[in-house]
Amino acid sequence: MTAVLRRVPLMLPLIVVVLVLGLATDSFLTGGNVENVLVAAGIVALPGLAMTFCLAMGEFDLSIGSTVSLAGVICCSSLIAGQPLFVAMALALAAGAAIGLANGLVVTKLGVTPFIATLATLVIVRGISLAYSGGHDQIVSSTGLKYLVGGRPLGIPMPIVLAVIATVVAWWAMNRTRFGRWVCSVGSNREAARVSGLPVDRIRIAVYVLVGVAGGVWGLLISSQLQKGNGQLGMGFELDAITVVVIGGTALLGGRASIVGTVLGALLIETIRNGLNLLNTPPAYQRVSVGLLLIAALAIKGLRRADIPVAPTVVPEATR
Amino acid sequence: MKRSLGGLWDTWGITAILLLLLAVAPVLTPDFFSLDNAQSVLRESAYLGIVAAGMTFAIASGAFDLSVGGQLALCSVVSLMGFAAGGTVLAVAAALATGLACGLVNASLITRLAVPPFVATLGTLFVFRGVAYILTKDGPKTLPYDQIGSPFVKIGGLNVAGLPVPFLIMLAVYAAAWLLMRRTATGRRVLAYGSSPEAARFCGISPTRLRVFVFALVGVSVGIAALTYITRVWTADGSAQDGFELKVIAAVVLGGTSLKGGKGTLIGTFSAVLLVSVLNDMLVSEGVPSAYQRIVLGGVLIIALTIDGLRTRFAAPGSLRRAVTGLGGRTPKTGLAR
Amino acid sequence: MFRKGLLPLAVVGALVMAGCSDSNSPSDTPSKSGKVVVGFSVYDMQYEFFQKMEKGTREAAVAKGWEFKLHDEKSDENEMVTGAQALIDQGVDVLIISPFKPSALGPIIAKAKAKGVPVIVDDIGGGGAPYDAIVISDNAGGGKLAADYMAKQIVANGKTSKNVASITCEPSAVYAARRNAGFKEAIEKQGFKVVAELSGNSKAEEGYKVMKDIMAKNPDVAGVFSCNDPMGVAAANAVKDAGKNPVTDIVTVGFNADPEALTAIKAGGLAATVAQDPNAMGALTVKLADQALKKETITFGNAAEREVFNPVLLVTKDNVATIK
Repeated sequence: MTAVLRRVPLMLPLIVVVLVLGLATDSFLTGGNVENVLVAAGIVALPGLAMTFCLAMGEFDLSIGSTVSLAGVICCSSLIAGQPLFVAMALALAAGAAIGLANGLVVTKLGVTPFIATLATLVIVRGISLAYSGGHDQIVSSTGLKYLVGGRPLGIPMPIVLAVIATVVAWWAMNRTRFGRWVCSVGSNREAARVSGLPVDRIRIAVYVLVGVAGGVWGLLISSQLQKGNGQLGMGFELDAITVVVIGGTALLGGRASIVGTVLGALLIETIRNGLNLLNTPPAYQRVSVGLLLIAALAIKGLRRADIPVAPTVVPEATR
Repeated sequence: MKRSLGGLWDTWGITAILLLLLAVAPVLTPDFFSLDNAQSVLRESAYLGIVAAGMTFAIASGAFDLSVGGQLALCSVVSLMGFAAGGTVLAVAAALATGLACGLVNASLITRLAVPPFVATLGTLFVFRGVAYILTKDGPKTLPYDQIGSPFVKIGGLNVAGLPVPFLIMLAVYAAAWLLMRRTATGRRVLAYGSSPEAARFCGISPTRLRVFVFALVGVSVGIAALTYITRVWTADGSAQDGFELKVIAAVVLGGTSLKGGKGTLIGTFSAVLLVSVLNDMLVSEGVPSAYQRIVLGGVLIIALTIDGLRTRFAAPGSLRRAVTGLGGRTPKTGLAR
Repeated sequence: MFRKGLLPLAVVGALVMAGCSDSNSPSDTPSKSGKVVVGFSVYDMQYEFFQKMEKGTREAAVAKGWEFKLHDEKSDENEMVTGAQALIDQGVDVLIISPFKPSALGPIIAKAKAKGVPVIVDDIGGGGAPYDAIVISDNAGGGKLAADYMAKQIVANGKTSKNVASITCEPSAVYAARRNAGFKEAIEKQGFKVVAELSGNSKAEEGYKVMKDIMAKNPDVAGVFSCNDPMGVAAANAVKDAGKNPVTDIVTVGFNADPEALTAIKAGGLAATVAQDPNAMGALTVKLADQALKKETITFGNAAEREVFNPVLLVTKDNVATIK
């Protein structure tokens, strides 16, 4: 019950925003637009879900935006080279996994702070992506790749299908499996986890690989939309992914995670963005509004919980 | 107090790497130590370095401020407007006041509305940048070319005794910050709060006052940095220094301040800022294509911290003590494992 | 304890002392070999547009027997000022610059003037600084070309809707905004209405999302103009994903004539783009640099702003084959 209540606060701002936009515009609640928002939210929720595990572990992965770019470049240039679609996609995902593995190894075996390690891979992978593409757009025209965003199994857009499946799997993994418990234990107290015999290094590496693969998926989705890959795509995406997780209520210092929160966070962000566009808000004012709404959403939440200590304390496993 | 080798490394490791780099720099880049180039390196690192000093306090207290990029844009824009309206004095006052105001806005969101610092400052990053955009709707604010003789415009390009003025300002900021952190009760409170907020509260440290102090300090440091920044590039709008926050936080962490709070080293931050600047200068003047510049820069970051990470892992006794007392070690928990 | 504060000072001291001891050696003696040295500070080599501009500049400089030094601003105003000033420090005889922030040209030109180095600006804008000459595309004129074409094409498509949309670059790109302004002015003269003017921040990803939002709000939108090709092609992809045709349903027009836009136009995946010729612009800057070095008079298109115009050209399926 407490778990449900903890998530309700983000529900409230979401409902308020939806109601306001529904009243303020005559196009927000049309079928086409709702689908727009859901697709956009689904696309950012996918990496957000993986990032939830990373943050639950008390760590960041800043390299995901560059992974998006490299995965797109690899997929599209492989298609151009005449590889079949599944090979191109597998290569892109493998690149994502390799970046994740590299992050994991640097963080665990070399003991580099995750923030800096993944910031360094952000810079390096962006460089590789630029060098590999030669600074040129890798343009494709692939109906197969298009299916990732354009396909409609059972009439539902593919990104929504993927996001729903990923949400169910992530929720199950986080809340019903040993792996989820381990991740949160590592986030609460890494030493305690190690002393109690958890394979801490392997858990951390696994999570980085997960984020890397999610970055690969994100890159495929973006390249599916744009039918190209290049070294500039995905810039700043790391903050997008981390933002949906954090406003969803996952503690930045680890130990506590909310899968449902991440999905609601993605919905809230994309709803706000879409709404501002429907209202024809000039870009300068859009920034101010996004910022204020983020603060407002979390302030409502914060005020509700003002009786609980504000300090970044670790919530014991039992209350999760 | 006897200091272990590991403890020395915590403070001096990155400085040692910087010295090493400076030793090889002239071999790789013959022009490196020419007066022009050395001045250029010092001058261009100043604005980042000054904000990094403030950020060291924030991170040492266990929070970070993602809004510094927005603050820099806003302070710069308002300061340029101040210059247009009332010359040097107003420009300086406007930058500092805007920085302070930004810091207080952040602090009140965090303390009064209980928004977590990450989200609060992410939100204000958008807001500050947005306000700067709105103020520059009709084009960026600039220092007009005909004001080239004004003392304000000269701040950025002037040298005193061979040292660029922005860099001298940075030195002064670091001296003051070092005294504040190491020689005052406030500095100790920041570190104590960062290592354990609960324990600090039990010792009578007010979290509200501490947060207000830290975020106001970051704001003022951005205000000072903005002055060295605009007198160097002569212009600002809402997009000024996009992605600044990550650069600043990276410098602080590279310097040895732990993101978990409780430990802050200004000497490390200072050296890290110069390290990145020197490295960047070498790559640029060697004509390395920018795609490869990125790869090298990232690789060096990892190597710099790997040396440290391995050291922490294997120097068990020192790090064990620090881990237990909660007083240091960039990755104390890793050290304890062995 | 106070000893701790001394080492960084020593580091700085070393840096500066070494600097002083060396300062009377080479840096102030330009073109030792007697060869003209030209420095080119480029906006960002990530973009194909600037890669072409660099190629045009380099080839023209090499053809003149000049030594060519490149600096990449990497879309950062601090790097722009630092690197361009460094080129001047390294003793270039003439500086060509495509400025990331035109308004930050002041300190660069001040330094160049002090050392007697002429400055030729390539595209983007001059920021009101006393450069020697600026080569610039007619941005507003390009927007007008796009508008006139779009109006004609909408009629040819048999659409009765008078609603069109405009996607802008990031709000700080003042000069690129002239494209959207020129477009808006010209299309409204033709009796159309710009029902949405939104920013995609120059990014393909955002251009795609913005176009989806525009179509949701205005299902009858008949045309869309984007201020660059990454967003233009992305908008065309969004149009296609909505089951419509970017030529015959929603006339989609970009700007720049990037390779991706030309490919898309050939395949019927984009209606038109406006070509600037960065290669020719680069070559033109070298010609102007030569004139400035020889102190010859330069013929300006607009003498007040020392502007030399490089023409823009509308590219559609009809003439795309002729564009390199």
